[in-house]
Amino acid sequence: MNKKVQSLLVNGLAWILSLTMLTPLLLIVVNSFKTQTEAASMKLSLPTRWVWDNYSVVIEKGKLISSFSNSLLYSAAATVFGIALAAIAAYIFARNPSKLNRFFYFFMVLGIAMPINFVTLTKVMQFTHIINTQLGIIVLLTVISLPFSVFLLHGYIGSVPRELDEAGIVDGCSPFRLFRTIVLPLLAPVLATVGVLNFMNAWNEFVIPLYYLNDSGKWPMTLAVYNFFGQFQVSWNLVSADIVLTTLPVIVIYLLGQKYIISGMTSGSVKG
Amino acid sequence: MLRNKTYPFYFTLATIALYTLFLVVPGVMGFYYSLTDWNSFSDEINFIGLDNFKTLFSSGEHYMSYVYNTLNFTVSTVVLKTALGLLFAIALNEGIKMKGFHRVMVFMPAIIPMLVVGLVFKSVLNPATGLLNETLRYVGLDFLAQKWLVDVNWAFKSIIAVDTWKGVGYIMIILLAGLQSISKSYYEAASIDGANLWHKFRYVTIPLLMPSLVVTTVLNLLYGLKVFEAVYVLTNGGPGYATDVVYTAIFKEFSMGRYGVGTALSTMLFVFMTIAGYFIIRLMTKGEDERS
Amino acid sequence: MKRFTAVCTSIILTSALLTACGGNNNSEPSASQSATPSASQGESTETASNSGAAKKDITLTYLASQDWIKDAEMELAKKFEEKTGIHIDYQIIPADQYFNVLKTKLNSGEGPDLFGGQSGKSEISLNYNAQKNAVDLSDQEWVKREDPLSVDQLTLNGKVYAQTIWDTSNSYVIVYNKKVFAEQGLNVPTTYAEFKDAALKIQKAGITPLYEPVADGWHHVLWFAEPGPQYDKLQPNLYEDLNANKTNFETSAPMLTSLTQLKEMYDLGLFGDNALSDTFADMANQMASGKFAMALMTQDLPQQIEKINPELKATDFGFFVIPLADNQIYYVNPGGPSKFVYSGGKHIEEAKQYLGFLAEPENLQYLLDNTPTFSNLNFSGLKDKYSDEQKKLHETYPVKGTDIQDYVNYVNPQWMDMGKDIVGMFGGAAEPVDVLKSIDKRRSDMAKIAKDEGWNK
Repeated sequence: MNKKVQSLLVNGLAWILSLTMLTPLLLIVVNSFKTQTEAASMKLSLPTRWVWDNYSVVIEKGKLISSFSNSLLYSAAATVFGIALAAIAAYIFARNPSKLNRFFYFFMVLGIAMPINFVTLTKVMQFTHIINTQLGIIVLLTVISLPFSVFLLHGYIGSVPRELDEAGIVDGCSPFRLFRTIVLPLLAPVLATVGVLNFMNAWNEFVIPLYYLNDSGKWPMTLAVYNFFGQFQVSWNLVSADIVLTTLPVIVIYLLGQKYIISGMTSGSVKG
Repeated sequence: MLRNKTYPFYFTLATIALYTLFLVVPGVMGFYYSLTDWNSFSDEINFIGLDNFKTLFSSGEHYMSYVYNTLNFTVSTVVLKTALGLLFAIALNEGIKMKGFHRVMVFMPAIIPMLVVGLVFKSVLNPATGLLNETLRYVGLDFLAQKWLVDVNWAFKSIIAVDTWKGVGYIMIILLAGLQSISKSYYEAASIDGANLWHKFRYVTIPLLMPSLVVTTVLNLLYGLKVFEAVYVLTNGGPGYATDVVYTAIFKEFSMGRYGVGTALSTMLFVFMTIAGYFIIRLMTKGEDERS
Repeated sequence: MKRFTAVCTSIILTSALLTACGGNNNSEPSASQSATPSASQGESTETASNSGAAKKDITLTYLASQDWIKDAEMELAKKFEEKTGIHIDYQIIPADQYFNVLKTKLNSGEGPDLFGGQSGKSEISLNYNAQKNAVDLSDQEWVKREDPLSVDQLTLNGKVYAQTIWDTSNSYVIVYNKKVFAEQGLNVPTTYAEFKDAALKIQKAGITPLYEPVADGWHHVLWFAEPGPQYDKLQPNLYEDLNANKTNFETSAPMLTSLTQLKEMYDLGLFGDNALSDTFADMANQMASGKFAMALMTQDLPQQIEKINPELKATDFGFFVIPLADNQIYYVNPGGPSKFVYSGGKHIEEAKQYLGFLAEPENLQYLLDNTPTFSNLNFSGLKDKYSDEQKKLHETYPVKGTDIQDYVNYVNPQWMDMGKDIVGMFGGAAEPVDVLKSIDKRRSDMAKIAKDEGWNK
C-alpha cells in the first residue's frame, strides 16, 4: 500500500512538472491560430475560428528562412570550431603540465569569469575587420565558449589513461595523428556534452548579434523574433505564430536527438 | 623533453591567440579605460584615477543596489535550481512511468531562447490578462494574483522564478547523470544496515553526488553573476531601477556613452568573479585529487 | 612571443576570412529572398538581382523605434526601390530598448545608414552627437518646404542634421467619451479639481476613468511635460531661467503641484489597477472595449476606435488639454520622430536620395492620406484632414505654447529616466520633489559634459 501511494505521488509530481513546463508553450500554440482581438487576452482556450493566415503573414514578413539558416550556420560552426580548438588545447595542457602550459591553462580558465566588455570588443572587431560579418559572429561565439570547454575537457582528459598514448608513440604516430586517431575517439562522450552545451548557448545568443551585425539578412533567429515583436507588438496572434515557427525546428531537432543529447549528458561525462 | 615533442606547445597557439585577442585584450583595455573619463561626447580621454570607482560607491547612485540584486539573483537561483533539480532528478530517476517523456519535457525550456521565454512570460504574467492571474482567479485564489513584473516587491522574484523555470531542466539532467553513476550496491548495503530513506539520501546520495553538485553550482554561479538577458527581456530593469543588475547597468552606461563608468563597473564585476572563480576552481581541483 | 602570436593570429584570420567569403555568398540569396517585397514574389531571386543590375543594387539599413515607421512609409520605400533599385532594410526595435541599441551602435562607430531619433537641440547634440554622427542636410531642397519651427529643432550652429516628417500640431490631448460624460452629467473640465471630480464620478459608475500605458516607459511622462507653457505662465520666465541655470526644477512650485496631482490621480486609481503593465500598442483596443472613459492620446484615436469597434463612432469622442496645474494652454511640439543620415555610412548619397524621395509633395500627401494617425504634416502645400472635433479643439484653446522638452535643454534626453522616476513615485519609493531633484541632477551632469556656460561658473 505504502509503495502504491508513493508511486502515485511521484507519478503525480512528474505530471505536474511536465505540465508546468508545457503550458506556456501550449499557450503560444493555441494563440497563434486566433484572430488579433481574440489573441489579445492570451487565454488557453481553443480558438473559436482557426486562423491559418497568421502563418502566411509571418512567413512573408518574418525573415524566417534566412534567420533560421543563419542561426544554424553560426551555432554549428561555432560548436565545431569551439570543440576543435578547446580539445587540442586542453589535451596539450593536460598531457604536458609544464610551467608554461599550467600557466596558460589557468589563463584560459580565468576567461570563465570574464565579463565581455562590448565597447572595447567593438574596437578589436573593427581592428580585425570582422565586424558586421558572419565570420565575426562565428569567431565571437567560438571564443566565448572556449574557457569553459577547455576546463571541462581538461578535467576529462586527465582521467583517460596515458598508456594508450604510449602505444601510439611506439607505433610512430605523429603528434597530431596521435591526438586525432587515438585520443579524440576516447573523448567522444565529453565532446558530445560540450558540443550540446555550446550549440545551445550559441543558438540562444542574442546580444552579440545585436551589437555586431547591421544587416538583417545576417540575423539569427533570436534577432528576427525581436524585430518581429517590435513591429507587431499588438498582434499577439502573429507574434505567437512567429514564435511557433522559430522554435519548432529546434524542438523537432531536440525531440529527434533527445536520446543522444540526454543520454550523452547522462553518460557520466560531466565530471569536474 | 620527449614530452614537448609528443605534446607540442604550438598546438595550443591558435586557441590561446583567439582567446587573447577577443576576450583578454578587450578586458585589459577596459582596465585602462576604467581609470579615464572616456565618454562619447568628447574626443579627448583624460586620466582621472579612481574617480569612476568613487562614483560607483557613492550613495547618490543606484550602483550598489545593482550589485545587491545580482548577488540576490545568484544566490536565489543557485539554491532553487539545485534543490528543485535534485528533487526532480530523484523523482525521474527510478520507478516511474514514462520516464523518458518527463525528462524530455523538463529539459524542453532549456532549448528555447531566453528572448522567446521573455516574450511568453511577459504575456503570462500580465496582471490583468495574463494566464497566471486568470488561472488564480478561476480557482478562486484572487488574493494570490499579483502584479508580477511591475510591482516592486514581486518583479525580481518573478524574474528569478522564470529563470528557474528555464534552467532547472538542465541542472536536473546533470544531476541525473550523477545519480546514475552511483552503484546500487551502496544502497543495498545501506538497506542491510537498516538505513531509512532519509539516511540513504543523507549518507549515500549526497556525498557521492558531490562532484556533480559542484559542477552545477559553478555553472549556476557563473551564470547568475553574469545574468543579463533574463532581466533585459522581462523588465528591462524596471519598475524604476528596481530590477537592474550589474550587466544591465553596464549595458545602459555604454548606451549612454559613459564608457568610463561602464568599464569601471565591468572591471569590478571581473575582479569579483575572478576571486570567486579562483576559490571555486581550487575547490573543484581538490575534488579531482580525491578521485584520481 | 608577442610578434609570433600576432603573426599566427593574422594567418588564422586571413585563412578564415577566405573561407567565410565563400560562405557569405550562400546566405545572400536567402537574405534577398526574404527581403524582396511581395510585389515581385513571383520572380525567382536570380531575376530579381539581375533586374537590379541596371539600377543600383544597394541595401540601406534603417534602425527605428516601434511606431515611428508608418505602413505608408514602407509602401513608399517599395516604390522607391522599384524606381532606383535601392532597398530599405527596416530594423525595428521595441520602444523601451531602442535608445540603448541605437546609442551603443552609434558610439561604437557602427551605425545603420539611416536612423530614427527624436528632435530637439539638446536631444540631437547630447543623445546622438549629431555633429559627429549625422550628415549635414542643409543643402537639401526639402529643407525650404519643411516648417521652420521643426527645422530649428534639428539645427546646430546653422546646420540641419535631420528630417522630420510628422504631424506636429497633433498634440497628445485627453480623448474623452462624450456619451459617458453625458450620462454622468459632466462638462469638459477647465481646472484640475473639476477633472478629478469628473474622473471620480466615472469611477463610481464602474468605468475606469483613464487608460494609461505606463509599461512603455515614456507615455506617462507626457502628463508632466506637456503642460509646460502653463508652468512658464505661473512662474514667469521659467523656461529661459532653466536654460540659463538661474533656477531649477526642484524649486518650481507649479511643477511640484503638477507632479503631486499626477501622483494623486494614480493613488486614487484613476488609471485603473493595471496601468503599470498596460501597453501603448494596446490603447485603441482597450478604448474600443468601452471599459475606459478617457485616454491621453493623439487626435486620431477616435478613428482607430471606430475601426476596431464599429459600435463606437469617432464622433462620440471629444478632446481637451491636460488640466494638471489648471492648464488651459494648447501645447504644441514642433518636433517629432526624425530621420538622420549616419555620417559613417557607406551610402550617404543614396540615403539622402531616399529622404528627398519621401519629401516629394505627392509622396508626403500619400503618407498623410494613408496614415490614420496624421491629420496634417509639417510641410507647406499639403491638404490637411482635420476633423470637426479637431477644429473645435483649436478654437477652444486659442493660446498656444511649446512643451518643456522642446524648449528647455537637457530634458528630452532623459525622458526615459524621468519615466522611471515617476514610476518610482507611483510606487511610493520617491516623493514628487525627489523626481524634480533627479531631473536637476541629470541636467547638470549633461550640461557639464556639454561644457554649458550656465553650469560652469
